[in-house]
Amino acid sequence: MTHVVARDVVRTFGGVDALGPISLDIREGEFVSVVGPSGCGKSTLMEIIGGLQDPDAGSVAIGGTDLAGPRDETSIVFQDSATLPWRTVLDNVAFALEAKGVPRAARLEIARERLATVGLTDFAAHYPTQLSGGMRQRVAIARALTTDPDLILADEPFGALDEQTRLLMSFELLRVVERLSCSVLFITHSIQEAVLLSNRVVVMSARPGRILDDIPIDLPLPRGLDVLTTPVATEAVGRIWALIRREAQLAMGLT
Amino acid sequence: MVLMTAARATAAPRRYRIPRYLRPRPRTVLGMTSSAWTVALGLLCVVTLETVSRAGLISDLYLVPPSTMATRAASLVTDGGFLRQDLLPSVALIAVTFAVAGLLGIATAYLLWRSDWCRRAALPWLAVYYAIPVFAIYPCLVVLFGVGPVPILVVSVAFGTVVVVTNTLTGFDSVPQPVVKLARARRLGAGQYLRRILLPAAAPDILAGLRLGLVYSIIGVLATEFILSTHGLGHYIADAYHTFRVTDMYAGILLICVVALVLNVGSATVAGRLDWRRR
Repeated sequence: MTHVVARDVVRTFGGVDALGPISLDIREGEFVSVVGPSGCGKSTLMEIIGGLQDPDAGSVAIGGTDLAGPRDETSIVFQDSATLPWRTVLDNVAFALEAKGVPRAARLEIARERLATVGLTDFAAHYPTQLSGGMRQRVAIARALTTDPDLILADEPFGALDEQTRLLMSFELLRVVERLSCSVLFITHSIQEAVLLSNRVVVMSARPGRILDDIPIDLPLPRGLDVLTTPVATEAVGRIWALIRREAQLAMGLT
Repeated sequence: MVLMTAARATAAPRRYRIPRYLRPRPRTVLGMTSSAWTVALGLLCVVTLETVSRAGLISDLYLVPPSTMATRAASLVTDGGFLRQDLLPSVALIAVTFAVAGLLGIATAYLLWRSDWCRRAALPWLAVYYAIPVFAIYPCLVVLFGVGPVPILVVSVAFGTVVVVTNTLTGFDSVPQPVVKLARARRLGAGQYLRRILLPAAAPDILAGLRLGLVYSIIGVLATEFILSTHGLGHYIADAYHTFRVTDMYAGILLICVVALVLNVGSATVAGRLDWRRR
């Protein structure tokens, strides 16, 4: 079953073609990563599918319904975690439910449960500034999970983290997502991260972003760090890297 | 042995091996902490004034000993007439001015934040606002409204509101982009956004603005009372000054200092407890 259908989506900013025309399908429960050179419109594509921006042309349908603004069943994880520094970790996780009008006792119970999922139970009463960057991102993931989403959009959620933390966080996300049955659109600039996590990797061109290649990653789940050394993974990494390098050079005006 | 000590002595000039910028700052100077020095400086001023005036170096038409000021101030605050006529009216006016300026300031800032057009139109005026001596319109207001609390309130509110507006706007602007997007993704309405995002995010800046607003309210009320009024602490000081009641004048000034200090320490304590940036 196709879950997300984006057809010929175009976005321009003040006469500059930023994105598309681009078409992207995501099947139910599929984990799709989008990689591309910086400035290619990855985040714009994510925000359009998230209902935060309207496309200038083309259409997006999710679950058979045309998209008109943000949906309750879509959760977004932003690059800079978007935690609210004046709230405790627990209240941060409960925020999405609070916005929906869920009563306090009920939303705190769900928040505690999700906080346990990401292993931060001991930090419920802390404030975000007292946590490390990786822990803050886990708070954001826990918050995204509270509303039982059928689609998670992640915009370089681990982009600001160091390499080791990023890999650990990727596995953590994979573990969480495997148990749910939601589709994931994952924007990243890390090719290894994309191969490690995804069922499919979509490679985008330099601005205006179009799809250059759509690479299925046929690796069994659950995956461990060793999958990166399998032939399927190394071939995929090589193929993506070759495409990206040319596009990045184009984007920077080096050729 | 002797040789070794000599070698040590020649190597000694570098007294510290840790660079100066890494050395911890001394916690005490001459055996006193910074707060002890604060008290000591105050005491020094008081003792100097006391000796200078007691020795008759300055005529008692200009200066009276601080002890005399304090005694007179103490007798003033137990004097029912002074309390009813001067101290309480001033404190009440300051309270009302502060409340009105605070609410009006935050409301105006929200309005300007909601409408970019209004904001761009108003911004140049806000920028030059404190260059205009607002007290100059006070006499005109006295002609319009008569001598009483109304013109004082108008001028003081006009004086105190704008600083709340500018600080609140700074706070509203400080909401990070990802948080704005999060709120949009979660479909927060205008009211929810104000309550759950805008006000808490801006709270530290709003509190800073309100603290300044309180100071401006004190200045506004006392200064207008000083210019023209029939009641109030400002009026009391001006009256004492014009009739050569030097001790009364200094007692009034001392009371203003005490009132301002108490309000300032109080507002700092409240702000410190509500400000999430200081947690």
